[in-house]
Amino acid sequence: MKFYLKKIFTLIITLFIISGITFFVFEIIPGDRVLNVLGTDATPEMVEAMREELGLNRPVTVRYADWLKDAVKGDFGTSYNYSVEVSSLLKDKLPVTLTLAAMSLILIIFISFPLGILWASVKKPGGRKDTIVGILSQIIMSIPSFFLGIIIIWVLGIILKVFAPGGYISYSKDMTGFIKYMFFPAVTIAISKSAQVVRFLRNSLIKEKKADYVRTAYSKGATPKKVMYGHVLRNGMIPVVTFLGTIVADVMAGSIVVEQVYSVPGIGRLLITSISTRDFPVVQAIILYIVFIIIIVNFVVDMLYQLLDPRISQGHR
Amino acid sequence: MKKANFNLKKSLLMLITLTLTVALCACAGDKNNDNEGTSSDVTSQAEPVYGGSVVVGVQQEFDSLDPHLATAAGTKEVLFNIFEGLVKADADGNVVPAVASKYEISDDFLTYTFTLRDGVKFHNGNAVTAEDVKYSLERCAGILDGTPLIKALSVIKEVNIVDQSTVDVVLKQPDTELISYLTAAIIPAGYDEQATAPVGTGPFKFVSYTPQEGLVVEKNEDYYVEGIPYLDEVTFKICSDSDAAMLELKGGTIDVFSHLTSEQANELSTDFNIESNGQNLVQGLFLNNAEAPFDNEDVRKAVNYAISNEEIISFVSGDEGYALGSCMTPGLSDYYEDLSDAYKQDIGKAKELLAKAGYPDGFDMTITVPASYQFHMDTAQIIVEQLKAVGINATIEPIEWSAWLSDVYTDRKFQSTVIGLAGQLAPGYLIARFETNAHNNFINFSDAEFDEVCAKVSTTTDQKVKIENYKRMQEILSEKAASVFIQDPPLLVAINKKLAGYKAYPIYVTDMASLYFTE
Repeated sequence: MKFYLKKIFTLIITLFIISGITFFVFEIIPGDRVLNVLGTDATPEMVEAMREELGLNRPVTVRYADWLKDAVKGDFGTSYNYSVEVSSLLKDKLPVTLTLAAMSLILIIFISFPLGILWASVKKPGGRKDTIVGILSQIIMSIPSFFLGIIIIWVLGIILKVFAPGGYISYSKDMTGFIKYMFFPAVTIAISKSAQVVRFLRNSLIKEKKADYVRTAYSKGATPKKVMYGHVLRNGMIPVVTFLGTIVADVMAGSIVVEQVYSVPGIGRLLITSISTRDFPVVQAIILYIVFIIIIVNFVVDMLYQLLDPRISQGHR
Repeated sequence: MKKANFNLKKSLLMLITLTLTVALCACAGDKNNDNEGTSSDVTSQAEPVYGGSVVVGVQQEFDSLDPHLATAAGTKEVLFNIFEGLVKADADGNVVPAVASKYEISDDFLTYTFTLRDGVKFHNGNAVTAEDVKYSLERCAGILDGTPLIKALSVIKEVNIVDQSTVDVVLKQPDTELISYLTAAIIPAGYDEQATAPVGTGPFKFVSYTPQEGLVVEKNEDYYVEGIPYLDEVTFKICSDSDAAMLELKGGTIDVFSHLTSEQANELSTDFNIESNGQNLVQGLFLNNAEAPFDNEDVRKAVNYAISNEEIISFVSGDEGYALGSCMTPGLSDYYEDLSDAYKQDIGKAKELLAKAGYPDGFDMTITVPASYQFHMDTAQIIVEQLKAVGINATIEPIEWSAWLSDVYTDRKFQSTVIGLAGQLAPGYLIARFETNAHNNFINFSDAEFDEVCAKVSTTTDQKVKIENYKRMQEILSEKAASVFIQDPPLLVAINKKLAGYKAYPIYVTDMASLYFTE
């Protein structure tokens, strides 16, 4: 119980500190929300009137305190850009990013686990086959996801016309159409991330395979299959879970680049737009969401450790 | 052991192949929704077909759907289809009656009398009344709550309802150019949800707006012009950037896209109709007249002589831009004076002037450019090369648009910048900014004669004198080398070959009402 309380306390403190930093960073960076809205036709009177209306005339500390007071109640204010509540805006965009995250994660697991195990089963690590696969995975890993995205759109979207580039369909209109469109963005994320997971898993498995208990298992007459799935995989998974954790956090926080390339209206693209138009309430809420996700995912990873390896206990439970 | 391995490999490979194949097949299902009958031999004279829906790609989010609060050119361009004023612009750049059927202007230019058109209805079904007109204009002029929403309309003293179909607009002082600002939208009196559910009188009515996705409008069946619009539905889809838009055009997701670069237009020209027209934009290298060395007239002239408009136009606009010599565009044909030859590129003269100004070896300068405008960035690059020839060492400082607005445009903390100033139908809109004390005189230009002529021009009631005055103002800007005025860049629009009826306006709008399918 103490363990959970401590985690929650850390979460709250981190959120508080990050929100403060974001708030004051927005004060310092050049660019002004009001001028951004009024554009080149702004007169000093119009600027003044709008500042008054948005409450930007008050000192920064007062504004922060007010924002904090509302945020604690779950009220993140109204978006300057869209004149709608920030919470309802996020509620619309979250399913998009979360679906993308879930689909990519499924693909990552489906692609990388079999391939990682397969690669780790290569007879001679360091041999020719092993080297070729190693180089291949290195190449795939180093392709930037925006480039991969453009290539996929170009080949599958424009030449082969497998899907319509930018033909995003909202999940509220057509769920199947939505999932179909999200498939290729998910593939784009999955390919580069999978290359990393495959390599990670392979290294970890090879290391485990050299462990003493493996020799013991073989001498007891266990088949290679049984050794791999019964012992090696389970132990080799521990570092991989940590790695998957960072990937999950990464993807759930909005795959900014991939959302941009595929014109997917998710959290990542919303963040970019909001920063460039100085839509502060939205930026603040999204950043807190990202921090929240990262902390929660780390927490879940900790829990998984214990499931995989009961030796790792928190001590004070 | 060998066998087990083999089986594992084989079944894994099968599994992966199977998964991918299934997914690919599932996705292939919807590809031929709108790709049927792609015959390319359609001429623009083809018979209009009613109905159909079109997707227009737009590059930025809308700043507000309230027509009186929207200021971004990209937003107004779209709202043009939903809202109308008492008058509106036509494709020739004239002001023609819209919600009003006719208007009269008193001889002293103090009273504008409008007769409302019969049978104009708002999208909510209500007829437009004199009260709505009064409300709309008073809201813009700041009579309702003190802050004018459209500065040019703050000259309105009162709006009087004469009878149910006649409205008098009374001014504080004579204004001969007010009519072109009365394109301001007429909206229902007291309706306060324009920002989320806009209601106007235009050819299309609002259906929905989803942030980051787009704005959907449908045909206004009650539109007062018989037979217009042709299309049933138009979606203004927000593209994340122009590269994404290019892919979507090629993939057939969007049908219409404007603001192409000449390179992009070339790339699309086989599959799309490309339209090109002036856009009433003055692109220039603007020099801060209050900042050394540009406080020196000779230096400004030297820079003008160093730069070749033609070269820039051929590089960035594919030879389609209009070379300019002052701050007025050829679209405003009555007032425009061609001064583009005043500073023909002349390296010798430029060097001479620099020496005279005390910079025989040139100097270092910074060009601040909003990084998101590739067009201006490209232009700046060519300018840097051209300036090298006279010994001026220019560096480009890319800056975010928000920061440009606050640092360069508002606080005037810059040496030089490349930007385009968007004009309106009123001839004074662009050029009046160079009056010494104008709040938007961001280059700090100051000239006594200019101020004098500028003060006279908006109250002059004699059209001939007015034209003379505007021409004189253009000449002064050129004589004093206020900045380097480069070009009115072409607005390049890609349009699906199945569509016809596109009207090129001399202002920044995309009129969807005249577009129709030819099959």
